[in-house]
Amino acid sequence: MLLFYYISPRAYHRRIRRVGLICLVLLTALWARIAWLQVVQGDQWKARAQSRLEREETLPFVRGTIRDRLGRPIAEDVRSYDLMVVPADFYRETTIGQLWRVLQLLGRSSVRDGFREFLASREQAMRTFFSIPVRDILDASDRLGLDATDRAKVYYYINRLIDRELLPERKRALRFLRETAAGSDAALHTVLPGAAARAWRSIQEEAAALEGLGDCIPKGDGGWDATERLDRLFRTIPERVEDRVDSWQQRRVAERDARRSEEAAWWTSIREWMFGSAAWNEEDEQRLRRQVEEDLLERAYRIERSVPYEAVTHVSLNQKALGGWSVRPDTVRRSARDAEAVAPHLIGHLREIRSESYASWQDRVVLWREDLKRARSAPSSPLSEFWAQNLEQLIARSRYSPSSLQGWGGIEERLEGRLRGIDGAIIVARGEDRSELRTPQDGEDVWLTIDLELQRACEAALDEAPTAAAGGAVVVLDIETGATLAMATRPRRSGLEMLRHYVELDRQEPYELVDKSRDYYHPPAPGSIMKPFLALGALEDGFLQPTERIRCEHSIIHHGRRYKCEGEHGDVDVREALGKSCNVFFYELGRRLAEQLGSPEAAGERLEQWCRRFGFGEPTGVSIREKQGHISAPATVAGIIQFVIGQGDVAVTPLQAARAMAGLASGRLPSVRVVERVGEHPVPPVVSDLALSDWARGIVAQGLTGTIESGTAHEAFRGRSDAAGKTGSAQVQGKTSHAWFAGWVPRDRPRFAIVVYLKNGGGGGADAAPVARRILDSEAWE
Amino acid sequence: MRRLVTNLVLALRGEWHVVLLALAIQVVGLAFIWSACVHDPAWQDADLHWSQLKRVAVAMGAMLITMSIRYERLGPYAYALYLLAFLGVLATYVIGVDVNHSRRWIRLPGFQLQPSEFMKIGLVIGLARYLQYRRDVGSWRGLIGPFLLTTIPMVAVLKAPDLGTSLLFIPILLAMVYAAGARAQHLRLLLVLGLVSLPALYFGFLHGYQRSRVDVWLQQWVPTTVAERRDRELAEGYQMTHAKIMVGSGGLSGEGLGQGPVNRGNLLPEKHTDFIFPVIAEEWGLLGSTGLIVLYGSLIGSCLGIAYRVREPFGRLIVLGVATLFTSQVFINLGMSVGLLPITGLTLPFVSYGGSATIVAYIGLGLVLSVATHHQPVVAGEGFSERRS
Repeated sequence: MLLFYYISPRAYHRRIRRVGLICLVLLTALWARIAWLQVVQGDQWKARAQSRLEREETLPFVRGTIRDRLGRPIAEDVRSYDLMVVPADFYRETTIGQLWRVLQLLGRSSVRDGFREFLASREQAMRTFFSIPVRDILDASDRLGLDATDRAKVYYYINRLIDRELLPERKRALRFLRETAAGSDAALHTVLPGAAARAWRSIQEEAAALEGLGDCIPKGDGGWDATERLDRLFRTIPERVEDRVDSWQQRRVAERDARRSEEAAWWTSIREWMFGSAAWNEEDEQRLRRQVEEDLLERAYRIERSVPYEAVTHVSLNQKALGGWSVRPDTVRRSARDAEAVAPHLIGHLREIRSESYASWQDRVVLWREDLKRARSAPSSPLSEFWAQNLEQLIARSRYSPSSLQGWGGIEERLEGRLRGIDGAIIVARGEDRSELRTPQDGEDVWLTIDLELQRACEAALDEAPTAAAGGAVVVLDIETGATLAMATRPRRSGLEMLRHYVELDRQEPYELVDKSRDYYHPPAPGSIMKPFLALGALEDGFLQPTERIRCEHSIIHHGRRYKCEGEHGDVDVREALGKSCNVFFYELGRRLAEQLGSPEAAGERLEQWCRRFGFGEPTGVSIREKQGHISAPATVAGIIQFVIGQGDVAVTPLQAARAMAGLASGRLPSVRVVERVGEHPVPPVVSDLALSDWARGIVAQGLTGTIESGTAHEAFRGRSDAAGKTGSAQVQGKTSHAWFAGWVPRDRPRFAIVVYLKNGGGGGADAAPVARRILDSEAWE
Repeated sequence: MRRLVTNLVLALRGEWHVVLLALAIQVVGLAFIWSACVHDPAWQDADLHWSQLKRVAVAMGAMLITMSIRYERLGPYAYALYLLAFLGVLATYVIGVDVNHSRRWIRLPGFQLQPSEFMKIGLVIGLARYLQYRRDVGSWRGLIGPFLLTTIPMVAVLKAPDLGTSLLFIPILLAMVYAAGARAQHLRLLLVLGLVSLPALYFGFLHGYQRSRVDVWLQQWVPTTVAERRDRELAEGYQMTHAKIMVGSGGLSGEGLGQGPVNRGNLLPEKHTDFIFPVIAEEWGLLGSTGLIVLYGSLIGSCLGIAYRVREPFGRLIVLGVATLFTSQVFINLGMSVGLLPITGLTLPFVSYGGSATIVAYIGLGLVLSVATHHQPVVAGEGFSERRS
């Protein structure tokens, strides 16, 4: 039965061996492939596994609340929702129509009526147009060989087509696309699918016809523009990739080295012998770049903060249909949205670090570091220690991304390091029960010394001041501790306006943005409110006797020039001179000083010294941005004559004036404070004794009481005599003079210093003093 | 009964290692079925490793029965068995159950049957029967018979659609025809023709989803932009990418049974059936994969050794057919898991979860053992019946 083989046993055996060989080759090939994947490309696949498995969600911190001295919130974070988009999903799924709908809900697509009607009449065309996935357009632009920037531009213009500033942008969009498509109209078809291109063209024609409708396009509300942000997002991704590739590359190389040192030496040598050394090469870099890009495209980016409720519901209900869009809970600063916000200049506001200022922000960190170094090297006091800590915190917490919020101006900026917290994250690994949680560290609360009600009253009084004043400021200071109870400025912009128009205003009308109480770049001349300080000095140093009378005959003549007084006061002593603000008295005093000291220079220096000890020309210690003013000793008698009435080369901020008044009232000069405590850390008050003689101070105080009772502020304070103060009117070349009032209350046991300053406001007694009176009369004044 | 036991003991005298190798692979398979399901919410409570164990028990029963039958006795029934399997495949068109858009299963009381699996054994037996005394396989005409025997059921299986199983038929045909004496140059020419006609097959026979699998497989070698690659990997290329991620993240030694992060993350569908190898590769790393391949290599090598020794043509063709079946199934399954081949639905013998496939694998093994134990030992010398040509 085994007789008739066709194939010989030898041939058969050879063939079986061959079959075996083939099997061996196949299995070896498999093994080689597996080894290639697991060993040579192992790191790469591991990294990809990780990025597939782990999902990181940021848990936003809550920024610290800024409170007034009684704990009432001035600026606080409230719950809101952010609109997020994942670029990768957006590329894949979002259509123009969906995008439009979302933008509409955000209130960014306020299409004017004419166009809306037109859209309704062209429903079919619009439907076609709206059903184009955004990605198709991007793909089309790929086919045209556009680079990333142009791609972003196409995308941007598509946005513009459906956005509110329809007409001009529409034209630009078309022009752009025509140009990139080599100028031919037919090329438009390569950019858009056929039906869509036709739809687009017809829309374009109609829209051009609508152009005649003119200016009924609603003005944009600036600042927060979702489409702009999308545009920026897509444009900056390539840049961010570059940024990150650099830093990751270093990390990867380090990791690889670490792994090499971990694994057994024999294995390393075998692997390197088989597959070459593990040095970093160009291919690795490209792979890394792809990975980074993928990673960046997969993340959710914030497009808009604090979106309206309808948008939240729309997006969260249609999550599936709206590819890539989602909402995420976040917080928003209420003061930023609140038109009624108090003290916007003092508090400051939050704004996003824009990509254009992102670089300059990094410079800022450098500046902070320098500040810190300086603060550390300076002689330490509890106060400077406090601010140094603040800076340290700030540097430690300065992990910003280009869209994170940052304090701008005032407290928000100064205490950024304390107010700001650290973002937490929840890292969910698929398939693992545990998820890693980094709890967000909330920012610390800040208690200000400001009294909310008083601040409101001051702002109201200032706003209502019935003068042509171009601006002004009110400062109310606690004399004992230097705590600022109110710091108002005029003109005042609401937090919302500040937020939206800051950049614009900063360029066009920077004047409106500065706090006149401390930060105006041309601090005003103090005018007559200088007089009490000079009088005190003269009395103390014996240049003036308390009972000495000087005759005022309206003016004096010095070197042929006439220096006038407000009135003809007759024989006045120092009290009356202060109360009635007699210039001649002080002119004579100045002249006498020059005579007795032998030279005008010496007299000038003495005058300067008298002023300087009250803190003129030096920082008040308020620790937010302030101007120092300046004071320089006059070198001539004419200069002295100007100086003694607070004019000439003297400039004082209202804050300095208030501080000096506090010093005068109590004999102790406080550092101005505006922050009571941060979290659990109180800001210590710093008060230095001026070592004034009580009798001289008493005489000056009597003079200032006279101002209210019978002097320049008598009219304004009629019926009220519990205050002391001095009015001032600093003359301005060719303009109305600046009006000042500086004083304290109560008269006999001074507790609060109050300073009113009205730029070009008129007379101190007629204009500034009534404002002070109004504040003292308000309910907020306890 | 006594005879059966005696037969068994006698039978396995020299071939214990074949059974042991298969059992070793089976143990690994059960362990990884457990590992693949224990973290998967969809299968966690199903205890698939137990039900697989029951199936393995049934399959081993089938193996014992098969190996205790003298394989020569199958000779007269060979075509009947072939036809039976073929009718089973045809029956799926009529009474088949739709699973994942393909009709591969017949529902019987208590279990489902996949006739295409049995078609593999049927084909091996039928081809062996057809080829055993053929002298004309060396000519073109002689190849027509085996070719038809293979392609008719193959097309039937392909239309199910079950591309993976039908792909196994070709190597079985080639190997058996080759061992039966076909001319090498004929087969080479056929192979070349086959390769040339691949595009035609691609456009003519493949369904859309099969084509996209081929596309994905081809595209993985082509550099692309990130966005395109991402799209692909999350859509059509999902399975392949994630299989590769799983294999690649295994590293040298893996995290250990049940510890692979990607396995725990359940990123890869079908990981307890067709895609069980990525789980093994992830959790046992290169060492485990190498071990598995060595086990398979030894099993196949043992089968080929048996084929080498057997001089009776029907038996040795059966053994060779089964060995080829194992080889190609392992190669295609592992190949698609690591991106060497496009994805087709095909189980890994002795490892994947499955009923028909397991039973068929064990029946195949039973056939091999039957041949190994029942063939006529070589009595005469090499030159005894040789007709030198």
